[in-house]
Amino acid sequence: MSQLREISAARLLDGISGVSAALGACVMGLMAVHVVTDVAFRYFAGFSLAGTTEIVSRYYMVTLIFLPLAYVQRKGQHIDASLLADLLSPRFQVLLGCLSAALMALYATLIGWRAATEALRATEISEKIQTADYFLLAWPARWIPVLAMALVVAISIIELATHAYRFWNWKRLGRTDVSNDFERVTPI
Amino acid sequence: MSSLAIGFTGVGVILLLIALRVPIGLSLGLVAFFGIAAITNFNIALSVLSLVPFETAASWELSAIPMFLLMGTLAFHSGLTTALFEAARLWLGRFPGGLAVATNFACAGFAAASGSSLATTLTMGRIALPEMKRNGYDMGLATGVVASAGTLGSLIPPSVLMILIGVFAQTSILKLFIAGVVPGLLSALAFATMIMVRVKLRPSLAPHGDVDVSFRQKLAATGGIWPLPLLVIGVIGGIYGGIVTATEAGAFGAALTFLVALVQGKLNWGVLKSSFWGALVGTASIFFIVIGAVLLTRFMAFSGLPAFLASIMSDGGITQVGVIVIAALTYFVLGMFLDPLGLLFLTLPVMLPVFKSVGLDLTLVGVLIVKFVEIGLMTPPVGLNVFAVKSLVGKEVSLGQIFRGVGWFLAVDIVVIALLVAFPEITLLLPRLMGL
Repeated sequence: MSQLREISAARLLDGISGVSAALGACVMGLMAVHVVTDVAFRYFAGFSLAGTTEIVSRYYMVTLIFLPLAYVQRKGQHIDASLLADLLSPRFQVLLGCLSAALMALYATLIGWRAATEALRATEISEKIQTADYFLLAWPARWIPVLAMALVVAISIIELATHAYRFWNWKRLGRTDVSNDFERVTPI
Repeated sequence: MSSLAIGFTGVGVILLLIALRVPIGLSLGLVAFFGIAAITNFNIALSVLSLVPFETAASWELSAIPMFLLMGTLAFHSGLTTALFEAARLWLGRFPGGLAVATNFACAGFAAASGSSLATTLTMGRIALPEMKRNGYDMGLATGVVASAGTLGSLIPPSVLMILIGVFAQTSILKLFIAGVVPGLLSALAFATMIMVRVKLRPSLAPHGDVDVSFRQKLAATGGIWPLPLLVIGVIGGIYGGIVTATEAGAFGAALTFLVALVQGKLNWGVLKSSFWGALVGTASIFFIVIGAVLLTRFMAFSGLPAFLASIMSDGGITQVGVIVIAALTYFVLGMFLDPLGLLFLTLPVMLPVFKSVGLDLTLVGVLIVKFVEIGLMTPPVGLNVFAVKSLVGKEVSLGQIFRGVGWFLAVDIVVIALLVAFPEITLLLPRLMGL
C-alpha cells in the first residue's frame, strides 16, 4: 500500500514536471514570435515594441530555463561526465546516484530558499522595472524559480529514496535494473 | 586555510565530484557556494546565491542560445541535412575518398545552420555512415570524418559556444562569429586534403564509387540546398546589415528556418514537437551549467586564484604564445575528461583574467578556445563526438577503431591551431575587413 502511494506520488511529480517543461516549450515559441515581431515593427514601421528586451529576459528566459529543470533531471538529461564512475561496481554506482540526488536536493533547496526570499521582497514592494514606455510588473517572474526549485527538490528526494532502496535491497532486486541508460542529447 | 588554498581545493573538489558523475552544473554551483562561504561567510554566500541564478537566466544577450538551438533542431528535423549530403556527394564523389570529403563539407554546410558540434555529428552521421559503409569505406575513416567534421558546428557561425564565450569575456559576439568563418573553412579544407592524400596513398581505404552523374543531376541536387544560403545570408547578413542584433539573430534564424520548412511542406506536428523539445532540454541543461559557472566565477574572484596564476605568468616572463601553449595543454588534458561546457566553464573563470593580463586579443582567444574545446570532443577516454558516432554504428565498429580514425583529424587540427597561433591574421583579418 505504501509502495503504491509512493509510485503515484512519483507519477504525479512526473506529470507536473512534464507539464512545466511543456509550458517552457510554449514560452520558447512565444519568445521567437515576440522577438521577430519586434524586429519587423522596427524595420518596417520604424518603432519597437516597448519592453521586448525586458519581457524576453525577465519572463521568457526565466521560464524556459527554470521550468524544464525537473523534467531534465527526471529524464537523466543533465550534462555529466562518467569517467571514474564507469569503473566502479554497479552497486557503488547506485550509491553515486544517491550522492547526486542528495547534493541536488541541497543545491535546489538553497537556490529555492534564496529565490523565495527575493520573491517575497519583490512582491511586497510590487517590483516593477522601467521599459522605454511603461513600467513592467516584475515581481511575478521572481516566483518562477521558486516553483521550479520546489519541483527539483521533490524529484531529487524521490530519486534519493529510489536509489537508496535499490542499494539496501541489492541482493533481492538483483543487479539487472541499475541501468540508467537514457538517450542523452548533449546540446554542444 | 588561505583564500588561495580554498580556491585550489574548490577546483579539486569540483573535478572529484564530476568524476563521480555528479552533474557538472551542480558540482560547479554547490562547490562555489561553499567556497565563497568558507572565504567570506555564509551571509555573503547566500546573498550571492540570491542574485546569481535569476540574474543569469534573465539575460537578454543569452536569449540567442535557445533560439539558435531551435534553429538547428528545426533545420535537422525538416531534412536539410539529407539534401546537403546528397549535393555534396554528387559534386565531390569523384575525388579520392569522395564520400568522406562530401561528409566533411556537408558538415561544414550544416554548421552554418547549427550552433552545435554534437548535433552536427549526429545529424550527418545518420545519413553519411550507412552510405560510406555501403560503398566499402574503411570504417575508421568513415567514423573519423563524421566525429571530426562535426566539430565545425561550433566554429562556423552561428555557434552556441561562441555566444557563451562572448558573453563571459564581454567581447563582441558578432566579431567572434565572423572570426570563426575562416578558421572553420580552413579546418574543413585541411580535413579534406588529409582525406584525399590518405586515400591516394592507400586506395583500399575508400573504394571508388559509381559517381557518373550528369551536370544536370548535380544542379538539381544543388537546387535542393537552397535553404542553406538563404539561412546563412539571412542570419549573418541580417546582423551585418544592422536589421537584427546578434541576439535577435537567433529568433530571426529560427523563424526563417520555420518558414523554409513550411514552404517545403516538411512541417508537421512531429517535427515541431521534436524540434522544440530538443531545443528546450538543451537550453535548460546548458543554463544549469552556466549558472554554476557564474557562481564559480564569483568564487574564483574571492579566492584570488586567477590573479595568482596571472601574476605567476607575468613574473615568469611568459609570452603570449607561452600562455596559449599552457592553455592548449590544460584544455587538452581536461578535455579528455570533461564535456565542452564543463571544460569551458571550469576554465573560463580562471583563464580569462590570465589571457587579459598578457594582452591577448580576446577574439583570437575565443576562436582558439572553441578549437581547444572541440579537440576535447575527439580525445579518449571521454570524447563525446566519438561516443555519438559509436551510438550510430553500434557494435560493428570498436571505440578504439573510431579513436584511431579520429587521430588523423586530430593531427590536422593541431597543425591548424599552430597556424592560427602563428598567424593571428587568419582569424582577425575578416572581422577587420568588415570593420568590426
